Amino acid sequence: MKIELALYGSIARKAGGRHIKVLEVELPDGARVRDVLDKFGIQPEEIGLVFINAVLHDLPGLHLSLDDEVHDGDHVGIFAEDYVWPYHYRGGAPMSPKLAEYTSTHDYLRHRPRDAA
Amino acid sequence: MARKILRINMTDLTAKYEDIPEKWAMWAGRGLTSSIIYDEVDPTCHPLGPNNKLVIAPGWVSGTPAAPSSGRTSFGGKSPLTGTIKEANSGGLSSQKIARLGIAAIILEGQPKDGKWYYIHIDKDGVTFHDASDLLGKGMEEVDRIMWERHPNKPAVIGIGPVGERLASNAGISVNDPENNPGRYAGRGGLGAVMGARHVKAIVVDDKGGPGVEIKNMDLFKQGRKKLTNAILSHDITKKGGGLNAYGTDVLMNIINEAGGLPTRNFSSGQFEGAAKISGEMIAEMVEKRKAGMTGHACHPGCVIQCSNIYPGPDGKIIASPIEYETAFALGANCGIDDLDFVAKMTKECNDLGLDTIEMGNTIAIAMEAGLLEFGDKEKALALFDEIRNDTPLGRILSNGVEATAKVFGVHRVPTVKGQSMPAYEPRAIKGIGFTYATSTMGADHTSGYTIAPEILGTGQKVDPLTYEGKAELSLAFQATTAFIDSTGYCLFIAFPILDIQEGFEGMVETVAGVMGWDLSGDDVVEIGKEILKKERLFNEKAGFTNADDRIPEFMRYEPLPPHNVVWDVPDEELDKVYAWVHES
Repeated sequence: MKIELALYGSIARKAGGRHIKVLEVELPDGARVRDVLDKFGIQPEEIGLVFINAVLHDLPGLHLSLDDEVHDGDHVGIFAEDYVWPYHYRGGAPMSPKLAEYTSTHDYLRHRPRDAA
Repeated sequence: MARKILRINMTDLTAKYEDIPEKWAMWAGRGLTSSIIYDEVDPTCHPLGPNNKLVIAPGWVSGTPAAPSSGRTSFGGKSPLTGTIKEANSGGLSSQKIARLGIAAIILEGQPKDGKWYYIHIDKDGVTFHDASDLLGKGMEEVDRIMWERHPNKPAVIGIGPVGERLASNAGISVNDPENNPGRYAGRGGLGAVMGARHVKAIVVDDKGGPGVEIKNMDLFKQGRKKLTNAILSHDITKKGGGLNAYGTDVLMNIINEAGGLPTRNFSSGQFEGAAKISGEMIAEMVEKRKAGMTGHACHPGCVIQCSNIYPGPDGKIIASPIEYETAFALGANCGIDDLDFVAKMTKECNDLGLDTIEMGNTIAIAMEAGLLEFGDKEKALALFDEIRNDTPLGRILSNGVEATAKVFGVHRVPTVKGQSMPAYEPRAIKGIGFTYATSTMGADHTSGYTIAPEILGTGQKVDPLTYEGKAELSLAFQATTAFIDSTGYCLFIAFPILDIQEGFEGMVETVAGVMGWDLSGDDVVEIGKEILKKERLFNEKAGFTNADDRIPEFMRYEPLPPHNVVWDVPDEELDKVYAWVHES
């Protein structure tokens, strides 16, 4: 299967870009976000925000998206760890069920949740 | 030396230094501009008539030795764009220089009896009035240059472009940056027209030999300054090489686009296929590739965040400074334009003519929706600025903003609240910002909702993203915190580190307490902010605004926004909770 992958910030270099790299990526069926990272040698601690098809799946420091599956035709956007998306511009935006559950029971206002691993 | 109020009366061309009255003694920045407007301006006055005033105030810590990123100047008045009270603030040179002259606020009132235009020079020896007839019609680039040629010591130049002279509702107020370029704007709400209605083309401020800012408790101030500076320089977002420093505010472009919340083609989609091409990452690539311009530019002396940029053209010549996220959204995505060079050229036009870039870009999008030109037609979009420069009837219409243009051309999809068009976050996709757009005392405004650590705000750590429970309270806390920060003189972007780093927040509070000689704790921040909001809200009520004005535009309630295909569905009662407290107790 194929996905469209967009890498932003310092991690774009791992796929041959400078500050942004958008490319098609071939993956085996059942692939997860961590497989996408592995393909380019990106470490989980290098990433922050993760979007799959315009739905937020991860925030800096949480790494909740690593086991989320990606599917044929998906658009996956991954940002380097130092990107900001302040709460007041983020509150109410669509989130994955896993992230929604996490944020309903944890600090959601900070840039980087305080108890993030 | 106690701070003074400088009252400049254009009717009889006099200037008086008045002792600051007790009722204003605690205030600075937005808190002071809104207090003065609340006390002295009739809310039912016409914004362009003889009874409106322009108030200019630096913040509490502006002009103190090396308080980090503290160069914001607040401008206040009754807005010709919204009809509400307005505070718009700007970076640039003015804040620190006004403060160092011992001035808490400049009140500009009256209108010259002879109908002539003036510019005003302020220094330690006082105020002089100068004939400005030879400056009329000139853009801010030329005005800034001429003022530095005529006056020594690289003064601050606060000025209006041609659209301000024409009293257009989208006229901003320009402040020069350290390189004497325009581009720092108190942009929103048409305060340039309020200045123009006083027939003042420019205010030049030279602080050489001024008394400086009195700091009542220097030890506390220094302790706070250290904590705040450390927080800014250690936070991922605001540190050297961090998100803001590397990519500017346009670091948000790809994020908001990925989230499906980037207003595109007059708010008809939440994603723009050309977003990457107008993003902060692309600005950085262009600066590297063209070996000209810069990222990490400081908009005022002493800024440690340095999120501004100077954007070069293909030939290495500078086109404009700065390209911000809001600029790139309004003149780019919302017009379907994916060419940074054209975004930069239009930004230059806005900065020179004296237009707010957000309102102007959104106005072009309305013209596109009306069929005057196609979405994405960058050449024709740029040519619209000639209509404004040449003062054609079409140019007049466009320089009065989104609502005026929509009305003239019969467009019903109008993305405004209280007459001011929305910034770069789609409220249908990002519902939280909609609370602030709808209820802000300023009209649709993205800077009204910054936040500080939730335990300090008393809102608790847990905010369930799936319900409206507590959202009104949260929006109020954000708006109150912002009103406080807008009064400090600090740039709002200190909100990122002080939100995440407790010491940074303490430091911010301690610097304010040190300057003013107060015993201030974090708990006071929201309460002080609410006092400001209350005055603003009451002014608006007396001007005729009700809860029915705190609403998101109708088309957003029935038109689903791709890619999430969502409408604005927050119940009105939830919005009405945000300011319900104003008349309680």
